[in-house]
Amino acid sequence: MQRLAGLMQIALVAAFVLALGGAFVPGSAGHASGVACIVILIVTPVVRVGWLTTSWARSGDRRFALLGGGLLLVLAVGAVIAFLK
Amino acid sequence: MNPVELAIAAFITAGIGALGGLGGAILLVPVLVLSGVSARDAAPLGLISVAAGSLAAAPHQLRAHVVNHRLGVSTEIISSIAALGGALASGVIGQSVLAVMLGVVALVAAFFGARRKGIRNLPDPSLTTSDVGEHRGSLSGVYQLDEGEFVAYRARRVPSGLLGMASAGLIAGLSGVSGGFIKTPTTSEVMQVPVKVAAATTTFTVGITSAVALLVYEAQGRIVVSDAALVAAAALVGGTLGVRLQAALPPPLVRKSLSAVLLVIGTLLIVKNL
Repeated sequence: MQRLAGLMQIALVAAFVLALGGAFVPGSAGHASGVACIVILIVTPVVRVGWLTTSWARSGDRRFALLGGGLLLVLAVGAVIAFLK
Repeated sequence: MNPVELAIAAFITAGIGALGGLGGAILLVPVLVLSGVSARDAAPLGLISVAAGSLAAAPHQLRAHVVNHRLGVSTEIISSIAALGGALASGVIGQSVLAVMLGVVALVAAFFGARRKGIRNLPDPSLTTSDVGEHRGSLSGVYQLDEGEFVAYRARRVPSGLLGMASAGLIAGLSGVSGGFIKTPTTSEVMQVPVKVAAATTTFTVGITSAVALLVYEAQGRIVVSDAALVAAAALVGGTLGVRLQAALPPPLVRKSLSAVLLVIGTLLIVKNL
C-alpha cells in the first residue's frame, strides 16, 4: 500500500504542476499541459483499481480480485456505451 | 465568474468535499450555476473537482490505511451499474423533480447523521498499530481513532447498504452529480462503518465514477481545458487540506459537519426547484 501511496503522490504533484501550466501558460503549451492534467485525473483511479485487483489476486484474495476485475469491466463497458451514445 | 472566483470556489468546495467524503461537485455545481455558468458547462468542472479531490486525498488516506478498498470496490460495482442505467434513462424524470428528490435524500441523511451521539465503534485496547488496515477476504478492518487508540469495524447490513449504493448510482446517473453525499451517510449510518473510513472510502469511489464521466465529457468536447486546469489546481490544494483537517478532527465533529453541509445542500436543492 505504501508503493501505491507513493505512486498517488507522484500523480498528485504531476497533476498539480500540469494544472498550473494549463491555467497560466498561454498558447498550445498551456493547452497541452491542461489536457495532460485531465488525463492524469482520469487514468489515476483506474490504475488504482487495477493495482488493487492485481495485489488481491497475488495474495490469493480471489473473491475481491474477481470483484475488482468486474468493476474494471463495468467501467470499460460504461465508457464504450457512453461513447457510442 | 472570473478566474479568481472560480479558483476560490473550487478550493473551498473540494476542501469540504474531502472533509466529509461528499465529492465537491454537489457543492461546486450549484455555486457555478447560481453565478451564471450554464449547467452544461458546470457539470464537467464539478467532476474535475471531484477527481482532483479524490487524487489529493489518496496519498494521505493510503498511508493512514483509512480507506477500505474492498468495501469501495464491492459497492462501486453496484453503484456503477446503477449509474449506467440511470444515465441511459436520463430524461425520463424531470430535472426539477430529480433535484427535489436529491434534496429530500440529503435532508434525511443529515437528520440521521446529526441524531446519533458519541462514537459507535469504541477503541479496543488489545489492538495495536500493526492491526491497522482492511482485512483480507472480508469487509472489515481496524482504523486508528487517536494516538494509541484503535477501533475494529465490520460492514453490517450489507444488502441494505448495497441498495443505498444502487440508489446513489442511479441518482448520479440521472442527475450528473457525484453520489458521494448519499454514499458516505449510507456507509456510515446503514452499514455502520466509522464515519472517517466511510468518508475516505467514498472519496476513493467517487474518483472512479468521475473518471469515466470525464472521459465522456472529453469525447463530447465539453471540457474547457483552461477552466478545468484552474479548477483542478485549486481542488488539488483544497482536497489536500480537507483530508488533513478530517484526520485531525474527532469523528463526531466530522459527522456533525457533514450533517450541516447536507442540510444546506438539501435545503438549497428543494427551495430552488419547488
